[in-house]
Amino acid sequence: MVTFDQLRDLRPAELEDAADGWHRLSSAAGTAKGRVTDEIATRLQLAVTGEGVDAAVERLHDLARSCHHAQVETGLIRTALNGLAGELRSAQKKLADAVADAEAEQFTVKSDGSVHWVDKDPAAPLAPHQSVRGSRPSMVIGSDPDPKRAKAQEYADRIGAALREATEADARYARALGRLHADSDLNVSDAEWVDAQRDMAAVRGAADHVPAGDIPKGKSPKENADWWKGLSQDEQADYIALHPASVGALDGLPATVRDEANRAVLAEKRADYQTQLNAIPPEPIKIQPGRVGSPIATRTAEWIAWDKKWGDKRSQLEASLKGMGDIQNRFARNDLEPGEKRFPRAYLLAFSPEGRGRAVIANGNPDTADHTAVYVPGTDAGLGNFAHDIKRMTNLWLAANSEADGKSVSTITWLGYDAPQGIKQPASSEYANNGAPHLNTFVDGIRASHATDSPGHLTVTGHSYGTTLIGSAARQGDLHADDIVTLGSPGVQVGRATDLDVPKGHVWNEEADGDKIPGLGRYVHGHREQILDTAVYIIPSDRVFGAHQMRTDTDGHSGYWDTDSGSLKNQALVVVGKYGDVEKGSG
Amino acid sequence: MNEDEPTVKDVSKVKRQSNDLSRDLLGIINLRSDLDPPGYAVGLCGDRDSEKFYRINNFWSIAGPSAADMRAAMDRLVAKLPESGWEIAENGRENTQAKSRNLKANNEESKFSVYIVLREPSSHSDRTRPLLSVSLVSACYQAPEGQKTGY
Amino acid sequence: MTFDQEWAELKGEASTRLRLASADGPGGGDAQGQLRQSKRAWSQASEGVRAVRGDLRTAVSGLSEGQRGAGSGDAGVTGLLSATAQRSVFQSWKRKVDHMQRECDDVQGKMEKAAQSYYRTDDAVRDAFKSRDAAPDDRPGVGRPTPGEGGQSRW
Repeated sequence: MVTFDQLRDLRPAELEDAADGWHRLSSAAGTAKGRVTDEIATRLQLAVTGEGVDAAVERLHDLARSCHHAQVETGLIRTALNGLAGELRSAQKKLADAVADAEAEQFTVKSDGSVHWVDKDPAAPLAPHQSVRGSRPSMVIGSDPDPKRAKAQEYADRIGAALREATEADARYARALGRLHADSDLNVSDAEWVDAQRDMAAVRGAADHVPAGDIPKGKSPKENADWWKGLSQDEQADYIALHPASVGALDGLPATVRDEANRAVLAEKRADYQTQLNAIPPEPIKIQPGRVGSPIATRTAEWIAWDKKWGDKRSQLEASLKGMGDIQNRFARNDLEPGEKRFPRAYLLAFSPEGRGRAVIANGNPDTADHTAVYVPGTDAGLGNFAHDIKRMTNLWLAANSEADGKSVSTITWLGYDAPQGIKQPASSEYANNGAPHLNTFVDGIRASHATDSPGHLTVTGHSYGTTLIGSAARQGDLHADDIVTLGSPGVQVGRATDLDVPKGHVWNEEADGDKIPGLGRYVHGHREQILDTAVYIIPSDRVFGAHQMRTDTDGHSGYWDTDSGSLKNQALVVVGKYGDVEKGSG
Repeated sequence: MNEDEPTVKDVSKVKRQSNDLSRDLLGIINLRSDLDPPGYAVGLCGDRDSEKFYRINNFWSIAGPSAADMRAAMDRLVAKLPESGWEIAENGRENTQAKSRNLKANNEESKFSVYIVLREPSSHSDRTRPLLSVSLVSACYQAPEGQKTGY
Repeated sequence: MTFDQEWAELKGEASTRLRLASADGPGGGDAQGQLRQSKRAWSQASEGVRAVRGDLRTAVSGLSEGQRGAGSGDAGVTGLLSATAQRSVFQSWKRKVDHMQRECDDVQGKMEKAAQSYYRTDDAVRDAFKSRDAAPDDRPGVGRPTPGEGGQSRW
């Protein structure tokens, strides 16, 4: 129970000073984590190979994990203390107001919280001093004839309410803080990351100064950006600490903020999924040999039952974990070697592992880049084969950077929609149409968070079904790109380049030899037009569509990013705005 | 690459070779640049399995020297490449609006190919200064058993 | 670093991989250059880890400074359960970060030894790093329950 004089004499500023100290530690841990992996481990591996350095690097990665975990947990402590300070300050003010109001009416408030007055009632000359205390509201039988007593009771009740508020907040935060002790082991296990998720939920439950309800939902990226800018630095840090998943998903927020939030989500989800995967019972023997009378091998009953219960879940967990590992590999740049081209830092702009997963990862910071490319992958894209789509954008980054003449480049893999899978799904427009608004919002977000005075040059590029989504995005809303590049497109739902929202002359197409998808897909995703008696289906490779046809020198549907290719180089030239150097194809 | 299986070769050897060849080219070009230095990247071999098959690429460019110096460098390349085992396959201009001067050469012995283009400011490009762009690529190889391509 | 310097450095690094234990590595001047390169890399890594340790130490003293006035005996926050909890949490993290600093010392020291070619073989380097010699703090006191036990607070 917080007493009257405790609350009156409380100095919430001291809690805030403590919170600042935790923030210093959290920040330092975050910086250390980056330094250990990006600089120390990377440089060491540049010059030395062998099992010795591998073991050293493993120690460094463990240290980095400790730092990351410390960053997250101490960030929660800081948030909790700021929340506590705020609530106590509020209770303190209520107390002070009640006391001031009481004293203004000639009441005296003693240090135990009781409210005193001197009664000048001649009927009670021997007991002039009266007092009441705050108490739980009780039934009043009849009305109290003494108005002074009623007033005193009111003040006493206000004081009591303030004390109860402080007591309740104190207990709530004490419970939340109690969860946040560090343990003695240096290695951060999966279990600890899972606990960090729960700790976050606990502090979220305790602290109300950064409520989830205040986070914009369904607002425009510009509104999201404005909301974020309107927060104090403290509030920003607290939102990242308590609501990383929501903050990380907000288009319009700075790339560095989204990256910090999503990396925390990634660490926690990875541990969570691994724990879930470990908990799945072992797969029983699948096939039993045939018997006399029925010689064909069949699946065992045990396996059928197991598969029904666990099959899909295990597949989903494994695919997501693979993707999470691929993302973490990109962060750690595990295969950097002597003389290898240094990739810029990666920024995780969005991440969620549920279902087929969503992930958006940038090479270089798009907020400061002179030229940015956003790549929309096509059929079968998902976290399970994300490495693929990450690599395509690092290839594009290398090619664009070598043509950028010193300007900065950012290339972004945007797995921000549920891509169709297999054979039947790509024949449906549904995935493109559902995903398209998300692309528009993402692009608006990149525009809103772009830091420099000049707006920056933005190219949106799509592959296969990804181009259909791009077309749908331009058709349904406004795609605020400067250039659009379509690779192996089966159709973009609209019939002319000028329908794609970018200025005239800024749509670029590639169709490689042997790429069968455009021919197969045109009847589904192409734009149907009537020419005399014939229905034709127009796709970007058709002259009448009006896109620039760029020369390709790769084969098939997936060669567009081959590192030595003209196909890639032409994309890179568009990305850096050097249109005069693009090679025209035969169309 | 035709029907033959790509040769097995140690990835680090090819990486080293690509850096050496880049250094040689830079030696002939003999100009200072204010841009990123060369470095290799591991690339694909068509649609072969990226865990087993690889190419090594070096992309880099030179900017800072004058157009005249860059053109002289291109001339030097044309003259000197054949002396170091390179066969010049193309020496002309790109089929683009800018029609930049280009050079393509193959080195049979080391199994590398290089594409060099001199991009100059003109009415067809919004370039403010010339850029010499080099793209070096190895043949397709197979990584030895147990070795990662690093793709 | 100028273009030439960095290029020269890359030239030096872009030779066959150094294998400390390999008896059939490249001979002659090449190997000498490699060795210099790797010693310098270990040395730089050791410096980097030293710097990280320093940052952690600074951070923990910043943390401790912020604790002035927030202790459970301090008038400013007397009687608060949460202040007592915070104090205990602080002690645990101070110990944890001290432990992390000792881990840095361990790693840094071994890197320095590697820089001075103290380990004769690559296996020896590996064994050195695999062995974790940072003394854990095993003083009894406030600590959080094992993860997975529901994380119940002590209050």
